[in-house]
Amino acid sequence: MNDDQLMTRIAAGEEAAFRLLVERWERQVHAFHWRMTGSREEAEDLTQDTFLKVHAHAGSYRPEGRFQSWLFRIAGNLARSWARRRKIVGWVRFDIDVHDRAGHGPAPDAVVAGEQLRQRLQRALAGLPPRQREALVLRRYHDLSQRDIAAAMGTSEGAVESLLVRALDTLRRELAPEPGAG
Amino acid sequence: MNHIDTRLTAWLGGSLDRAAREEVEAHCAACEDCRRLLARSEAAWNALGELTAPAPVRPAWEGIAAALHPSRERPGARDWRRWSFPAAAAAALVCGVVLGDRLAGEPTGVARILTQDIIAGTLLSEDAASDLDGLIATAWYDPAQGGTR
Repeated sequence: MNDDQLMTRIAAGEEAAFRLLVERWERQVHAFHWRMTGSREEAEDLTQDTFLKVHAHAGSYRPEGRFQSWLFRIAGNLARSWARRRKIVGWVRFDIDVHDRAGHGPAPDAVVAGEQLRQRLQRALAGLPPRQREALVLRRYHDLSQRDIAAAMGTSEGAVESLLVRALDTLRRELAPEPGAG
Repeated sequence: MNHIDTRLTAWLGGSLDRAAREEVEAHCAACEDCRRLLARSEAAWNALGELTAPAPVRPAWEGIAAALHPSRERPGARDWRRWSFPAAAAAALVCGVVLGDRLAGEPTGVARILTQDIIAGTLLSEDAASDLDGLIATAWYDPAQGGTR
């Protein structure tokens, strides 16, 4: 059953369809919110809020095969509202957790180097202006087209491309080898 | 062909068709600015692939089902996180007001009203204050008079 069919059933009040949709998309939505907020806990709360809005607005969804951009429009709105509530610039504070590292013993050099790169990436992503970050996250990690990102962010495709180019340029500078480094 | 700005991320994401890719390659062969833009963007794009997101700790459905069916809801971690600090602050204020009122020995409804305001203000819900009215009344139980003040 595709997403549009599930949405039709959700609008008709079928809870089982809603559960299926949540389980299908929750990892992606959680990953989006994690990259937007930098916090695992905030990501979980925002993921839940995203799906509750999906449920609440299921009746207004038009099944035209664009569910993913509709879903990320809701998710993006919530992430931006979250940022506004905090009213701070550079609102991402990535949890420096090492969720992919097993064990606590001495880490091989490759693991340490990988972890350092991850932390630099987290800081660089966190330093991007929110709209650049949102466009980049949707393009890089969720494989949305410029058209779908434009629909999700309520802007033009040209504006999306401009956001992406600026974001990549900033990241390139941030990730450039530090002076004096090997 | 124009510069590659409008096709940059499509190139990086591998979503250009063959003809479009060949156009970009031909353009970059002749345009040093675009060649450099592509190279530096590609490095950042590839590096981002290292940033894997953690998996959610709790299945989202748990909290969603609880929100959809409040009557079935049992206190979850999210509620605990969201309300623990305000609730503790409200409880401390309520205790302070009750204790102060009792120590002053003055039978007044001011403290009771103030307590309701504290709860309503802290929990941002008039309903919450109303629900707790019974609890507050209990706190004001005066054994000497056999009832609440």
